[in-house]
Amino acid sequence: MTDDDLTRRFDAARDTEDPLGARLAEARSAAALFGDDDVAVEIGGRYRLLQPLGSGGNGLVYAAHDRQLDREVAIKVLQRSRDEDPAARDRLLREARVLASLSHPGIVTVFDAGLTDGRVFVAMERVEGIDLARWLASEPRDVREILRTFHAAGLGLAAAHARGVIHRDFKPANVMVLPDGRAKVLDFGLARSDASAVARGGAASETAAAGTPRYMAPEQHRGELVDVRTDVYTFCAALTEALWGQLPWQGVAATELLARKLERVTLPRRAGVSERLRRLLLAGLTPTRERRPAALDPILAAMVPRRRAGALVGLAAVAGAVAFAIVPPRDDCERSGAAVASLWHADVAQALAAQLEARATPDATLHAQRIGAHLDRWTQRWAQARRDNCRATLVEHTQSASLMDARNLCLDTQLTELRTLLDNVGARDSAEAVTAAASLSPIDDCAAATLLARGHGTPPSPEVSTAEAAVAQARVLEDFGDLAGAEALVTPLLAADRERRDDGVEAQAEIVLGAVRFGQGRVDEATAALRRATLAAERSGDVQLRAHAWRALGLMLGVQRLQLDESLHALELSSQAGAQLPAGTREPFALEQAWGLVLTTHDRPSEALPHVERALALLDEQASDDPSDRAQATANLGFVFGRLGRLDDAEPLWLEAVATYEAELGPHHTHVILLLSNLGAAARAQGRLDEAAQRYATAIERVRSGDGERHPSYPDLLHNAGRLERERGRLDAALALLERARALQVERFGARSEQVAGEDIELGVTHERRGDGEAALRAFRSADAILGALDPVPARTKAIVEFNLATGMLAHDRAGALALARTAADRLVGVETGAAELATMRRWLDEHDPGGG
Amino acid sequence: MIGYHHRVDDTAALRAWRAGDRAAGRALFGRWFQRLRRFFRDKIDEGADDLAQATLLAALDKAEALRDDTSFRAWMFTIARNQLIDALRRSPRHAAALDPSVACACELSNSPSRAIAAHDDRRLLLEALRRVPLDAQVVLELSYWERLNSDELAQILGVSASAIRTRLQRARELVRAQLAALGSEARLGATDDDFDAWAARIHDVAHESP
Repeated sequence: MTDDDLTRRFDAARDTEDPLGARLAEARSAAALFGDDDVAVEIGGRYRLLQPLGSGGNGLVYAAHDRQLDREVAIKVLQRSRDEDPAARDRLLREARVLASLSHPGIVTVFDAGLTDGRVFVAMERVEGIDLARWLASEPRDVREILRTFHAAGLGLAAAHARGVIHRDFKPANVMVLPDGRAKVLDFGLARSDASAVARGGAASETAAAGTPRYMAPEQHRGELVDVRTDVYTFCAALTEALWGQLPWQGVAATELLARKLERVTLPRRAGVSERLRRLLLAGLTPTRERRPAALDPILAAMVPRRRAGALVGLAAVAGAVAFAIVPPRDDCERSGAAVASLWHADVAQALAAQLEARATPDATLHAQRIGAHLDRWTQRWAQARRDNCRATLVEHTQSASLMDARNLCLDTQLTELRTLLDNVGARDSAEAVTAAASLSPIDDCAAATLLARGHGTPPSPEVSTAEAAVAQARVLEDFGDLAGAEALVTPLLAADRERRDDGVEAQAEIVLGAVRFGQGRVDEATAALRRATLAAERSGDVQLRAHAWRALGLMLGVQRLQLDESLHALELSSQAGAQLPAGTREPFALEQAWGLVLTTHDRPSEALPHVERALALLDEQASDDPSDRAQATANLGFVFGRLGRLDDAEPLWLEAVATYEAELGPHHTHVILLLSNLGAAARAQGRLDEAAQRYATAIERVRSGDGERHPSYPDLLHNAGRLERERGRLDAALALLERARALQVERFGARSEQVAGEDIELGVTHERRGDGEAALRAFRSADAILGALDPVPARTKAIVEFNLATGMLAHDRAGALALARTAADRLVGVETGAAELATMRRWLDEHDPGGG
Repeated sequence: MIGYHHRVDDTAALRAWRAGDRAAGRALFGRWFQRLRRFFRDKIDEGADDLAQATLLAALDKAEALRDDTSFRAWMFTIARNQLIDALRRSPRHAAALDPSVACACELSNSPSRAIAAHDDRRLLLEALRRVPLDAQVVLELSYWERLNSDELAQILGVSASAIRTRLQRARELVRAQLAALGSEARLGATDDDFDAWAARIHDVAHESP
């Protein structure tokens, strides 16, 4: 490496990769050193930081201006803890999103949350006032004032509990008292949603850790699970301190604190504090969590004078009473899952099998069986989700009625998918039907945590519900390849007036339209639809739609349009949105697959490798039982290994994937034949030519006994087999195979396609091998002409064409040939997958042009 | 000329800050914060921002010892290097006997060596720098990024200017060797056209997934 090279490298590495982080650091350091902040920093694309407001326990708080809504907000940028891993950060972000769905007069409203510089930030209502600790200390407060203020804060806390959110660090410093006397709970920064625990059927959330020692519950000292009763304890501790002036463990050393809290607490009677409230506070301070009140409600009720109870807590009391009054017997929830059984039952399954088998397509019996297995599993899950949803609200009271309604509507929309599938399945290709059955939306998409993260915690309007059902129908039709049917369903949704359109529906409809246009081969229009989908998804703020739309656009740009930078940018945006979804959705898996595919398409297999490995690992983490997902991920990993030249690693993966696909989709399925073709290539590349020929022969035989030449991967198979025959010295057989492949590629992709150019290259090489230089040159020229007229073509493909052309030209035009070969070699410098070809080109150049270059 | 003005401005600004001129301090901070932050990055796992602040405060503290004919940049980076070595010695991971002419940032760090794609020149260089002795990293970065001359570098490391020229040469060689080693770690495999067919197909599968 020359000195100039080194200088260039240093220049490139000089500036930070993370300019926002640097500016924030500068702003924060300026604040620390000079007490000001005059460095303009904007985060989340809309919040311009104005000045630091101070640092809370877990992050810095800034006043900021929200450009989008032209209002002042407070922004808290959470500190990144020393050992924080991305998963913990993602969880925090999701939880912040849950908070954003909470709106209550007793809570400082969280508007938005996002990531900046890898940190979670939370945008919230800016509240003028002083915190409750200072309010208590600033002047003597009488008991009624104290009770009224704590009551207001307690209502906020209880509202959070109703949504499955635990504060975990309730204390006077986390309550703001406004000049008009209202109180709002603040700083849910340490709070953890226990939606995931609720989803698992438990009541306690997964981790404990932080809190404030003076107020925190014994289980927090011990690092145990926390739940609503932990907040009951901290609320009672703070209120006791305010009313009695101190806590029983006042002044106790930190190391003795837990021991003291485990002792029996006594509280003297106090004027203005009812006996009922005193007993409830003692109950709330019980060290054993199970003996505490299970909710704040009785304590809150005891805080207001009895004669006014009806007026002050009216709404909460009525809601509670209604909920208790209408608790249905367990059986009602049991029956709530029955709707699905009327659609899918043994008779329907039998009729479907008969219908498919009558069509006599290859493997139809197997397909009917697989469809049955998928639908059995899916409908069981659907019924279970319906029952769980019913119980969570009506029996266990861990969920609001409106969240129950939202989940039920979500499940209803999924039922529309099933109905559409069953209406169409008999008339369709049976292998496609298996895929469509496996592609029904995951039931977990309707889980409480997912809906809350998407901001869908309340039921949509009837218009939106109807539109979503239409999109669900269109999605299934598109899965079946009924492009016209799908288009007919989404077009009216997109034709409605802008104002009357729902952004979420629009995004979903555009995504389906994108798939339809792609299926029709109209890539530009597909890309445009997906771009509109991302805009609508952004407007909707729905993280799942944002993740999906950006991913679909990223794939289209990366794989079909070969625009790598834009594609990676889109995938990055998808990743950021997807990070806000709860664990267990399919989105991260789909994204990793997309990332791997785009990078592989652009000759960057070693960058693709971690993504495809992660995709497979995600399936393991989620204990996924979808064989197609697993086979796809396994095959893709093998494919990346193949591109890295690690065929010994690729081969067992492909064998595994073939076995899975054979069992799931049948021995004649496209994927099986593709993998057999790749396995042939792998054997060939490792010098096992006879085994390679055997694998190709199996694949070709299966195409012929299956779909015949219409089979989509047949030309590729002929191409591979042709190359092998050339290598085995059977040049006439090779030519026949390659000519047939070329003819089929012309039929499929048109005469001027990249695929046809690929066949021309192989034909040229074969003609050359046969000694027919003229035919070879003709073929190479044809390839070059086709590629020259195409949109961006990967550097490696282009270089290979140019080099082959150069070798063919050598005899007629030596200077032109050498120049072209040098161009080809230059093209490959720095292309990861072109190393072997580059070495070949350099050897050839050294041989024919020793002094050149 | 630019360098000359810089020197005068910075020295004057530091003294004015010392005398209570907050605006002068703010201006000095604006010119130096990111440079100091860059100095500390890739040498210490965390706390680069705090060290940049601490360096400015230490400079403020020592302002009276700064002479007119001293290169301000060399003086500031001397303080920065001392802050760095102190911080590394304080870290539980490393013994007090840290020798910056031998130990490299990669040994002083908790973060594992990073896997890098062969074409990512930027990361390759930063990783190579982390793998050479700390003082070699310091002289290279200050020479390339801050354009310090050998007299200034000599002042920072407390050696002669001729020794610095030797050290710079040696440091370049070390980085080149590390770059070569990193390059061969990145795997370059032979490939085969045959697999291209699959790429187009998996697209359909991935695309169809909901």
